[in-house]
Amino acid sequence: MKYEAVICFETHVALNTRTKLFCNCPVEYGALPNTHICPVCTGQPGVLPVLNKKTVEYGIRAGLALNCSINQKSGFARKNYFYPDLPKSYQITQYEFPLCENGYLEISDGNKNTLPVGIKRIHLEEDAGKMVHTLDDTDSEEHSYVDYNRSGIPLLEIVADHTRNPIQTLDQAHTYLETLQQVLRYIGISDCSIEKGQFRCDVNVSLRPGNSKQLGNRTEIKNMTSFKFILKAVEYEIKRQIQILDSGKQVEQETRWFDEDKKITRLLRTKENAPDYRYFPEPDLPDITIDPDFIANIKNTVPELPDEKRNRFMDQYHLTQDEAILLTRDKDISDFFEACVPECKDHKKLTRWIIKDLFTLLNETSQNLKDSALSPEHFAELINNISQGTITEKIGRSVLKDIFETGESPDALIKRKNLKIIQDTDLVEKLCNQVITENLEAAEKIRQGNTRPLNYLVGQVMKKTSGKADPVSVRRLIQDKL
Amino acid sequence: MKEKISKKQIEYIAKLTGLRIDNKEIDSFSKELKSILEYVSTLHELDTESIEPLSGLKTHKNAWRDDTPGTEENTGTILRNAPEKEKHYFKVPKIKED
Amino acid sequence: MELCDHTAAHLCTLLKNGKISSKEITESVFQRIDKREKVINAYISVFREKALLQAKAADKKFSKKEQPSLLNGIPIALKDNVCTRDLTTTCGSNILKNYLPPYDATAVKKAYQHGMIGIGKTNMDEFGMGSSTENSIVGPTRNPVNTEYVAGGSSGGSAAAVASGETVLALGTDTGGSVRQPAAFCGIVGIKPTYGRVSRYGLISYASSLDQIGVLGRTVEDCTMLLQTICGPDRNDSTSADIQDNDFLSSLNNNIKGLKIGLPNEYFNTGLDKKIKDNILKAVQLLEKNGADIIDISLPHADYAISAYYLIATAEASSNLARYDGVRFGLRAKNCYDDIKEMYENTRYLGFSTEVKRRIMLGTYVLSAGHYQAYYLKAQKIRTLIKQDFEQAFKKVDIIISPVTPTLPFKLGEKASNPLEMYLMDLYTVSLNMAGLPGMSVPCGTIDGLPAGFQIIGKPFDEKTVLQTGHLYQQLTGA
Repeated sequence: MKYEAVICFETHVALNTRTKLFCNCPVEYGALPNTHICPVCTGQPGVLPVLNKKTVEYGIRAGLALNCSINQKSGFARKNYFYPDLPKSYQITQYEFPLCENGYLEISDGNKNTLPVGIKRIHLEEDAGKMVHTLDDTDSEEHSYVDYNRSGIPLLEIVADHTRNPIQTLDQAHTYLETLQQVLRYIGISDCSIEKGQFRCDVNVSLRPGNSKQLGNRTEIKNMTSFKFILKAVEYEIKRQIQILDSGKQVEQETRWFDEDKKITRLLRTKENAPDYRYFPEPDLPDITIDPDFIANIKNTVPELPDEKRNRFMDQYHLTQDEAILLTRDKDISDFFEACVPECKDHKKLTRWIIKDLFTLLNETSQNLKDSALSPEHFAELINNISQGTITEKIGRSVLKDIFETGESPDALIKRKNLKIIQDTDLVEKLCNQVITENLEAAEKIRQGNTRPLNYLVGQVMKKTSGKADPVSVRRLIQDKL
Repeated sequence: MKEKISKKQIEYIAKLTGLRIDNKEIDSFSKELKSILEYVSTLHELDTESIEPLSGLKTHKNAWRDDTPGTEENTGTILRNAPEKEKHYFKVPKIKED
Repeated sequence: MELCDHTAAHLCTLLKNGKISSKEITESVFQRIDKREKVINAYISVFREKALLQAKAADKKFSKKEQPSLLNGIPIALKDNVCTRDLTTTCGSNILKNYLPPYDATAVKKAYQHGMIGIGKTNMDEFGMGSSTENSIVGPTRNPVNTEYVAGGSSGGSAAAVASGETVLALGTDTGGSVRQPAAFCGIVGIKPTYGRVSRYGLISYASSLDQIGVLGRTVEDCTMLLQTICGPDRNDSTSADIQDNDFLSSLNNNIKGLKIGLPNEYFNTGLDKKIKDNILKAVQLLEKNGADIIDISLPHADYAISAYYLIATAEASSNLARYDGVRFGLRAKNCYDDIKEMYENTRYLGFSTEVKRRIMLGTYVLSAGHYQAYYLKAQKIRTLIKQDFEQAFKKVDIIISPVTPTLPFKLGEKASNPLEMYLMDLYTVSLNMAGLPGMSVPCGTIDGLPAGFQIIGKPFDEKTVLQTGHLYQQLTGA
C-alpha cells in the first residue's frame, strides 16, 4: 500500500527588533540572566502590555513577502497555562484574528519545477523565558532555574497550510525550511539562527493512503534543534505511521517529541490529554487596525526577494543558474556583487572570485562579509588588477586576505609590497636561462619530450621572482627554449 | 439550561487552574457553582444571534510604541521578591520531563 | 472638629494662606488613626515616616511660594491593590503578604507629583472580590458611622478612612461597584470614572475590562480635585483614553437648568428598600425644583447585568490571578520540592481565600472548552445589549439617577454564608462597569442611623455633568 505524506511546519521566528513585544526591554542574546527584565515581562502584579509598532511592521513585511493577505483588523488573545517560564501564566498571542493569512512560499525542487507551498497564517506572539536545569557549582538535583531575559521577545508564528500544495517529501521539507529562512533574512526581520533559537520548528505529519481522499490523523512533533534532526524526525515519523497503517490500525492524533539520542519520536501527550488553553480576547490591548497606506509604506521596505533576484541575475549578468543561486543565497553577498559590477570589467572573473575565493575566505575566518573591512570598490579593484594582468591569481589571493582584514586598497598594497608581475621580458628570459643552466638534467628530459619536470622549472623561476613572473609566459618561454 | 457540576468536573477545573481543593470544599463549591450557574442561565433566554460581543471598551486605535530600549535597571527590585533564588536566577522545584 | 475632619477644599485654602502646615494636617490624621484605627481597621499598612517627609517637602513648596499644585500637602490613603514602590502591596491577600512592588502605579505617581501625602494602604476584600471588606487577611473594616456594621467593599478601608477622619482623600478601585457602594455605606462621596479615564498601570487587576481606579472624599468638590489630578492618558496603559480634557473644577458650579435626568423604571421597583427609595426620590425632587427635567427611561436588559457581569469578571479574574504561582514573588508553600505542580497547588491553596478560589473556579469553568460560547461569549453579547440600553437612554437624557445599593449597610457576618446573595447586591452598580460609564455615589441622608446614597450616571467621558449635578445637590443640602 502506497502512502502520500503531508508535512506541515509551524515555525516560530524571533524578530530582530531592538526591544521586546510588549515592553521596552532590550532584545539581546547571551546576556547575564535576568538583566534584561522589567515589571512587564516578568508579569508583576498590576502591569500592562504595550505593543511594539515595529513588530507589526515586520509581521506585515513577512506577510507581503509570503504573498499573504494582510488583515485590516487583527487582535490579541490569551493562551492560559502554568509553567515557570511563563510569567503571567498566560501567553499573549493571536488566535482568532491573526495579522496575515492565506499566502504561499514558492520553493524550487532543484529542476525547473516550483511548488507554492500554502501558508495558512502568520501571527505575533511573545516568547517565554528560559528554563535552565543545571547550574555549575550548584546542587541542582532538586531545582530548576528560570531566566526571563527571553520572556517577551517578539515571535512571528508562520503556519503552513496542509490543504494547499503541502510538502510531501523530505527534500521538499528541507527546501521549504531553507527558503523560508532565506526569505526572512532577506527582508531583514530576523537572523533566523537556529543555534540562537531564533528559528524553531514544530512539524505535523499525516499520511494519506494511496487510494483514499481522506487524510489520516496527524501527529505533531516538537523539540527538534537542528535541520538535521527535523528531517530525521519526519523520516522516522513517516516510517512509524506507515507501520501502523500497514498493520490495519489507525494513527492516533497525538503530540510527540523527538529523542535526539535515539533518533525516534516518543509520545508526549494524547489528544485526550491536550491542554485546555481557554483562549479569550486580550482585554488589555486594543485591536490592531491597518489601513492600506500603512501596508503600502511597508511594501516599499520589502526588498527584491531571492527568486526575483536570481532570475534577474541570470538575465542581466548572463550567469548560470548555479552561479545565480550561489550569489543570491545571502542578500549581503548579492548586494556586494552588484556594487562591484559597475567598477569591474570582467564580470565572469568577478563571479568566480566571489563564489570560490571570497566564500572560502569567509568560511575560513567565520566572518560575515559586512563585519569585514572589505569594500566592493576594493574588491572590484583587485579583480581589475588580476584581469589586466597586473598581478598573478596566486598573489591576488594573498592580497585578498590582506585587504579583507585591513581595508587597504589593493592598488596601494600592490605598490607598497611591490607585487606587480614583472614586465621586463629580458629579465624573465635571463632567469629562465639561469634556471635551465642550474637544472641541466631536468632540461635534458624536457628536450627528450618528457614534460613533467616543466612545472618544477617554472616553479624555480617563480621562486626567483618571488612569484611575480607570469607563470603562463614563463612556461612558454622555457618550452620554446627547449 | 440545567448545569450539573459533578465532583469530577470540580476536580478537573481545579487542576486546570492550579488550585488544590479539599474534599469538603468540593461539595460546597459544587453546590455554589451550581446555584450561580442556574442563576446566570437566564441569559440564555435572550436571543443574541445577531449581536456582536463587546470584548472590552478600548477607545484607542492602535495604542503602540516606538522600538526604543529603556534604560532602567530592574534586576534588583524584581529579584528581591523571589521566594527562592540562586545566582540571579529564580529557583523552582525541579521540572521533571515526562 | 479636627484638621483631619475638614474637606480638602477648605484645607487647601488654609494651606495656601499659610494658616496651617501640611505637617499639622498629617499629624492630625495620624492622631485620628491612633484613636480609632484599632476599632475601624481601615488600614493594612501605614507609613508615618514617609508621610512626614512628604509633608515637609510639601510645606517647603508653600514657603518658597513655588505655585504648588492644587492638592499639595493633602493626605491621601491608597487602596492596597494599587502598587506603591518599595511599600508592601498585598491586595488583602496572603499570597502577596510581603510583596514589594518595583514601581509606583501611575495614579499614585501623579498624586505624589502633585504633592499629596501618602498615609498608608487601606484594607479591602481580597483582590477586590467582595462587597463588605470582611474578606481580608487583616480582618474586617468597620463602618465608622456604626461599628457593628460593614463599611462596604471592596474599597471599604478607603471609605472608612475618609469617613472617620483617618485620611482626607482616598483612592479606591471599582470593578462592579467597589468604590460607589462603600462610599454609600459610609456616607461619603465615591466616583468611578469612565473606563480609560484613569490609567490602570499599577492597579492589580481583578477584571481588566471592568476595573477602574476611583476616588473617595467627603464632598463632590473634594473628589473632583482628586479625580482631576489622576486622570489622563498613559503610555503604559493601552486601554487608557487619549483624552486630555480633565478640567472638571472650572464647570463645577454650573447650574442644571434644563438638565434632563433619567430614572430607570427597572431600578425603582421591588427589591429596593422603601426608605432608600424615598430618600433618592426626595433628592431627585430637589434637583427638579432647581431646573432639571425628570424623565422616565427604561434599561430593558437590567435584569441580566449581574449574570453577565459575574461571568465576565470571574473569567478575566481567573486569568489575571494565574500569575500568583509562587515562582517570582509572593507566597510560596514550603516543603514541596518534589514537584512544581504541587508547589503551585499548595501555594494557591494557602494563599487564596475561599471567595477568591470560588471566583477563579467559576471563571475557569466559563472559559473552558465547551463552555466558552454558552457563557463567556454570551455574556459579552449581553454586555453589548446593556451598553446599547444606555446609549438609547442617553439620547433622551443627560444623566441618570439610580440607587447605589438595594439595602442599607448590613451587620458584620450577616451575609457571609451566601455568596450569591452578596453578588445580587451589585445590581445597580455593575452596569456602569459593563458599559464603561462614569458614576458617582452621593450621600442623601441617614436612615435609622445608617447612611444612604444615590448614584449619578453619566455619558461616557461626561464626568463634568455628573460632578456638577452632585455638587449642586450638596450645595442645596448644605453638605
